[in-house]
Amino acid sequence: MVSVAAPRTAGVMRRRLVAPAGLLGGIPLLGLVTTVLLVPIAVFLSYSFRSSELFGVGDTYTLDSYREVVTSPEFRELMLRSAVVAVIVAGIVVLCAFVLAYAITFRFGRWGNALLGVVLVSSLAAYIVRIYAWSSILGSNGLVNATLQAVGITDQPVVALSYGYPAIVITMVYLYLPVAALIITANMSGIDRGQLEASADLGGGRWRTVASVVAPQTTRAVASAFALTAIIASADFVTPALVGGPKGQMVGTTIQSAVLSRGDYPLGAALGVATIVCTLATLGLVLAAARISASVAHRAAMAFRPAQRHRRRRIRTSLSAPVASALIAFLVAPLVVVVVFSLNTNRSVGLPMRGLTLSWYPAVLDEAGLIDSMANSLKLAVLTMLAALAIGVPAAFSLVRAQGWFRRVLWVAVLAPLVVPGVLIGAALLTAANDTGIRLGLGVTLAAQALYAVPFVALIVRARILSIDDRLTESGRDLGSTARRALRTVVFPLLLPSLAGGALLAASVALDEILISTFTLGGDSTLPVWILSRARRALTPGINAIAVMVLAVSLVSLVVATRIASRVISQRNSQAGTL
Amino acid sequence: MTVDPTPSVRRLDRRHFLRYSGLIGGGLVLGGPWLAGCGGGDGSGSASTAAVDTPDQAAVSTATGELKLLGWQYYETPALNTDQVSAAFTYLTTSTELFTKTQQERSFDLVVSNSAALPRFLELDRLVTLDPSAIAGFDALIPQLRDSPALRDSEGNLKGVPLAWSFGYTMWDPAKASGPTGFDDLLDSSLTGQIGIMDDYQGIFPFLARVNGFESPDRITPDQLVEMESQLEQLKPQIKTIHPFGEEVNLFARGEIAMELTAYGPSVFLAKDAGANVEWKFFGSATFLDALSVLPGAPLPASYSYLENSISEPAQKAIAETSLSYPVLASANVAVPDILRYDDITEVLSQAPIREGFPLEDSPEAVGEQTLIEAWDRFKASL
Amino acid sequence: MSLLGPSLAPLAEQTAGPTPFLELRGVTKLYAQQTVLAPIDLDIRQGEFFTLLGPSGCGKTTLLRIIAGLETSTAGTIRLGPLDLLATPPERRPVNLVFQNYALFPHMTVAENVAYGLHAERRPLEEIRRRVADALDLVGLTDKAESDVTQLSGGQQQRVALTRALVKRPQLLLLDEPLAALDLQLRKRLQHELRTLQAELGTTFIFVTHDQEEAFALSHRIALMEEGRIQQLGTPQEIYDQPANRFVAEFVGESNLLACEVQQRCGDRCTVQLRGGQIVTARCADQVPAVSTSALLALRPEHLRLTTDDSALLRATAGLATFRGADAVLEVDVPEAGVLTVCVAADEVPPIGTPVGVHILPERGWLLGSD
Repeated sequence: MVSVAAPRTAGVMRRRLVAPAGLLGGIPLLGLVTTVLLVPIAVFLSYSFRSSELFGVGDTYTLDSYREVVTSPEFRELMLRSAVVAVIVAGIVVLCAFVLAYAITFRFGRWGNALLGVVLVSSLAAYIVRIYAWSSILGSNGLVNATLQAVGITDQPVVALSYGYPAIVITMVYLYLPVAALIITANMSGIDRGQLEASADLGGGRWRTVASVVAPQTTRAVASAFALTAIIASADFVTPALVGGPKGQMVGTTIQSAVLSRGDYPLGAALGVATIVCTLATLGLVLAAARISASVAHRAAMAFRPAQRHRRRRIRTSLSAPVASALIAFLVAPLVVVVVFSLNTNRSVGLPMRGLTLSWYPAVLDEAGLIDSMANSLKLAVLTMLAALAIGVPAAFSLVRAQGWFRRVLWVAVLAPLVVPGVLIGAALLTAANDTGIRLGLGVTLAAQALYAVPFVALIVRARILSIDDRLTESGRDLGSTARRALRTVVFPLLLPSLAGGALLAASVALDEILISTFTLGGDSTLPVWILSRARRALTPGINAIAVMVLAVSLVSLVVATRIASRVISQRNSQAGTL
Repeated sequence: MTVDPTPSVRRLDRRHFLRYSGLIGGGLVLGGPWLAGCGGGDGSGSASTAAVDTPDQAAVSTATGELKLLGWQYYETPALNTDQVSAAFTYLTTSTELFTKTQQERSFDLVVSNSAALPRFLELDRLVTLDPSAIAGFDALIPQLRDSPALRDSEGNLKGVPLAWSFGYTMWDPAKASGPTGFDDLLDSSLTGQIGIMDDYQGIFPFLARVNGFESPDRITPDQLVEMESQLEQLKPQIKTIHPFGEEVNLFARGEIAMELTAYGPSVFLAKDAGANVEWKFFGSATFLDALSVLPGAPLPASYSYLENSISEPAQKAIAETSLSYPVLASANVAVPDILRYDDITEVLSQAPIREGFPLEDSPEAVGEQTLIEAWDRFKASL
Repeated sequence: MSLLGPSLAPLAEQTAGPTPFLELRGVTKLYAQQTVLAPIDLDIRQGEFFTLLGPSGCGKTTLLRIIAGLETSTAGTIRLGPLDLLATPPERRPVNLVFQNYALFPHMTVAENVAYGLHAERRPLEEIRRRVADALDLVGLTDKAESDVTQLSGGQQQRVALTRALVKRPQLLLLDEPLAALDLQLRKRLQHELRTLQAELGTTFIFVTHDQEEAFALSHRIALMEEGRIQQLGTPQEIYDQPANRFVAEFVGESNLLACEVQQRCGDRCTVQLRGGQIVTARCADQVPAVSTSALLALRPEHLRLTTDDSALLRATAGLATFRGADAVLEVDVPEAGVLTVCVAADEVPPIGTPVGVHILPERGWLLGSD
């Protein structure tokens, strides 16, 4: 907030403009969002009002693209389907994430952190390979069907599982569950355990405790996770392409094909606008419906009060732990499958398994261009992580300290990259690069991926700052400014775990990222691109070997990074001790 | 403990500021190439590409450097590089990236084009005319491929040097089906839910064109399109899945389909390798001829040197091995797996004519590419 | 007052009934090869204000939480009247706990917090409204009923936590150092309120604290714990006057411990000889210690006097004095016995280094077995 200070200087009242609080830290964020997101998107969306030309944009202004979008029944149905699938996926994801978060925070004790790590790590394995692994699990001769038939439940394979909307839903739930779980867990771990004990002590059973004590304190995180998942899912075009089959078309594919295949930017832009509008409208409806039904349920519960009869002996089973364990198994299973299939002597990517061999590992390393692509991917991941930290951490501080209008601006800047579907960001950057002559490549991709990763880092770090900031301000008031400086030196070790978490998330986002990079990579190749290109000639089990290697490298880096971080923490602690 | 009068808050911001400005500076340094890239324009190349610019022979033989190549990963082999001239591959993931990724000037020097993509490339005027007399070894190529009008524009200028080729075919599991002889065979009840089709309008429409006996796999009249769409409707119950490229191998390996209509290239070989029992025949077949083309602004001596090497015997053999496509040099055929070898290319080409690409615009004689894309999208959406 | 149901009658302090109400037998807690609670046997009477007192780590909070049902015991039984408490889940026990950090529900108002337990019992809405209003009135928080709990001061939050538990009319109220986070004035005031409340309601309170003064001010009986064991169980007076062992003597109040040897015994009186040869009379317990054994004589500062008399038993040098308002406590250095603390009048504090005489009042000291 721009405030006006009026110091008396020899009887003359001078007015000084004071910079908004938190301005400095927010500058890089605002710069990034403006140049990489706002301007390209604005330009791209403006194309929706222009006429199409072969791989270009015409000069006349017209609503033709919108007309095409709105009048074509296929498009309408496609968008509706995409929005509905996205909402269904988001609903399932949020439900599972809640259970997972609850179990990790309250039920698993000291194992909770380790399991959260497992959940996050499961998001590291190559995006595409995880999808392939799911095909092997869900396919007609995949594990699920083989088991069902062996056990005798069905005679025929259940086809619906392998291609189509069920497969898309399952795969998307799998892909987006870790992040949602992280968001909700971060929020839930702020709830004092004592409240659950108090609830039990006061007579609240497990369900009442969850519904009345835990859930109301997590509504914001749940809503954010829901919205985020729905938006990302609605514009995902890789998943439907790989597991959707002919029936599982979603709008992201159409946007991608409009822009990349036909160069019809106006149509792509119009579709993009329509998608955003559709998804937001659906989200709004769903959230409103949720709120209404919650208050209706509340009122109904209040009105309906059966008198207390005999207290039946209830079976004391903890539901959350087994369900959460099943979810974690669900997350880990494809990784196990990938490892197992990487040893397949048979040439196929998945089943049938013929035998075990390690020969794919050296064989695949020999494949032309693989190492370079992997190197590019890793390089990009590290740079994205650094950029996300460099921009996200100051932004987090700014978010905490900003007031008034500037605070609102910052929030829009932080959330915008998450709200706009990756497809659109990529398409916008592609057209922006073509227009301005900036070469597409790792540089542009880095900017785009940093853009995508910064909100995660900023929000995670901000949450952490808020949880320590209270103690800081109190002690700061008591002890004076010198000690405040000392406390700031202590703050950083407290922040390091969240920095590490944010960095990890940024790296995993970058490593797997293909939605945006399809558009922005230009002449460079990353691992997912290599895989998709190679896939034209039928993949070998080597692709599983690649995923295993990527996973191994990620895990090792994670362990090393954590070790370094904890050493830094203890160093800082001993430093702080001498103050 | 001395009291520090400077408010710690401002100190902190300064520290932050220095820290991240340093990082941003570093980022800029690393991202330098991004910023350095400059160039104009959006679409068509600046120089006219119709006129032939033949490089000097001496220049070609002494050319050195690294070229930027846009192509399929399975063509990447060290044999394509020589000590003097090499190419850095950028991978295509879809055919349409041929156009979008070459849009920026000087984004690439060479591109793996194909005969079906030529009409659009010509429309965009994006390929440099090549002088075959300046490419050593060009005459040694298989004549039907070397002289094919599919790689030339309407004035006969050469726009791409043949690189490798393959044709589409139908394959099936003999235990569950037999080789089809006509479209009605596909409607047999034993094939209900057993047929796979590749998700590619460039595959299915030429297939139907050939099955229906149309003259060219690329020229479909509006009436013929209507007929094809009704055929697709009839095929609906027979289709198990419309799948991405390469997936048919896994589908056969898992026993999920009995017949694949639009297999091409090494699918049958790979499927057998994966343990499936499959046979194939020419049915609805057409040939895809991949070629190397040069983009405007590329260094011609180095490009020609690379082209020459790409059609040399060692390179052709290596390409055949990595991609399992057919080489364009007859003497390299020894590198092709036994099951895929053909005897007489004339015979093959009569069964599988070389694709020349769909027309870009609709006309009474033939529908344009856009119409076909939409027809395919409509069909998929209606499943 | 209206928090009560008609069944419970208020009891005066002195008439805490003799029938055991809460019986703990052999309650043990082992954790990672450590004995957190050695087998505890305890009887608590209905209507009494009972305190578990001890230093941190002694096991008092663990024991409290076992009674509440928030922790499990390794062995033992607990009976509340006829009810087997350990077999009942915490939601069903007629026992409620006031948490040290209050554990209020931050997303609910004061009234909603207080009403929570009654909602859990599925009480009719009318009844809930009435009881909550009465309870808030009792603690003076009626005007804060619709406020967010996060806006309240520490003292107000503590009252909400207390009310939330009491409104359920538990048979047993447990309090886990509820006043620890408050400043001195507030603490004293709330101590007084708690005492009055307990007397009015007649509910049995079990209070946990490490503050000996607090325990003395509030309790009918105290169990002093150390290292998982009850070191002494008794009224505040008993614990102060007749400490069971050295730990108790030193934990409660100031204490001087002099090595001595028992000369004579007669009932609860005895004569001992100090190391310097001085003969002193003191009180002792019936059983121990026996004649001619060495023992410890525990003397409170008020059992000692400074004297100018030459016949003083002990010669000492004056040291630091600690001003206490009404009087002062003077450290004196006695050659054979070390540093003792003596009560002196505030205006009679001798300067440091002055030679002084120390007189031991007869039959005031208490004899402990030497251990």
